[in-house]
Amino acid sequence: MRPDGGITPEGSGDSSHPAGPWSLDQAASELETRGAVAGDQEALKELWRRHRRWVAAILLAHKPRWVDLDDLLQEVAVAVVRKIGELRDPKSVRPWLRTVAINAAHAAGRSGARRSRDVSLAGEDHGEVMRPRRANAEPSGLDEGRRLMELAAQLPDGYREPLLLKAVQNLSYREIGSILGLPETTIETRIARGRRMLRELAQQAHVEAAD
Amino acid sequence: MAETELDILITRAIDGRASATDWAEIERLGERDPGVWRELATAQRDDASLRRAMSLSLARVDSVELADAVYTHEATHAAHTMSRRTRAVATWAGWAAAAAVGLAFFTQQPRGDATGRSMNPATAGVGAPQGQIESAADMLARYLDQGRQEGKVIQEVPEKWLLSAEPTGDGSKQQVIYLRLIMERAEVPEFYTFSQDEWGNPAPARIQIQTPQASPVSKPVRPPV
Repeated sequence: MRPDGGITPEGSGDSSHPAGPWSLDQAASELETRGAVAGDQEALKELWRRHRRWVAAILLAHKPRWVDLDDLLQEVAVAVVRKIGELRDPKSVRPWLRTVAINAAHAAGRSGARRSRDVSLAGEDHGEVMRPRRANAEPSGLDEGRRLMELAAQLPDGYREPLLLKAVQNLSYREIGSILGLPETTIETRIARGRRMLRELAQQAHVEAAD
Repeated sequence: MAETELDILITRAIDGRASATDWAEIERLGERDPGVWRELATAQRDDASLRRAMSLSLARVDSVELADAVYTHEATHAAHTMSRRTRAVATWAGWAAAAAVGLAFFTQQPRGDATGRSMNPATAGVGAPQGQIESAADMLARYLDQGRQEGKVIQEVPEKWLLSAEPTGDGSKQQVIYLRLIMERAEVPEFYTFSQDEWGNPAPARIQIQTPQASPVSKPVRPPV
């Protein structure tokens, strides 16, 4: 904490992703990307496996509610195969993947075609709606998590993505910043505010449910 | 302290990034206002719930691979079409398997097996060959003809769903794996699906199939014991 009451910028204290492993991971990712751009199929597959989870989180943050996540991820996969050769800078693979994912999500929204499975941000469990449950049962942790995912969909654009990226794979702020093209300090602030907004939304929902 | 600054301290604590200075500030704030501790606990609980739900919801994306055929066939339109069909097959297959299990279990037809693998081809006449059968195609044609006569087969869907394509050993041809679809008719008294009871054990639950005339609500019904 600074003497003026402000908070010092977060430094190297990211215990989940210290600098060493992140650098190795980044180097591996760049090698895979170079190979994939050059036409190495195995490298492309590895690149996809490395990034597909957070790409799915980007889709969750941007896709229309009625669009199936699996279908959309397949669209992204096909686009990656088709366009990887156009990637000029292997270091920019993350923002490039994000752009591909957002474009796919927006295209799906424009098409307006409802798919057979209505997948919400909270994922889908069709058995859930038919599962007998006591009316007065306390919500389980999983139910609470799904409810929070629904509420996260209501967050403003700039806060939704960082929060979901942090939650999906515990990405470091540096990694999230490299995907979104933002400084780490901005990522930290947005995650902090996003969590605050989510808490307030959850409290509001509790109050409304009690009423 | 501004709200955002407290939020940042809480976020650092949640993410394991809080320094000794940050923790000292949190403790100082907590001594002045115990609500800070409650806020920290709530934030940690919410974050854990969100992570768990996200993890479960996105677990299935690990099965979305870049198919070899998609990469090999740079005729992207064809690749895209195949990908869509593959997904459609997967979706359909899952539903069909679940439906078949339900039907086999509750209609108690002696000829279906418990896995729903077969509605017993004999019902469509395969087991009673008439005339010369020389190939699988002959048997299939006989099955379709007999099935139509019995009202159990409606028709074979003309389109076949391509699952994969790869060059043969000598590279002269393409070996394709595909699904052939046959539309059949059956009469069943009830539909069931497998759900879970409160202990997580598999339990059948009767469901109502929605039709334009039926109620739009599917209610769970306690299964027969």
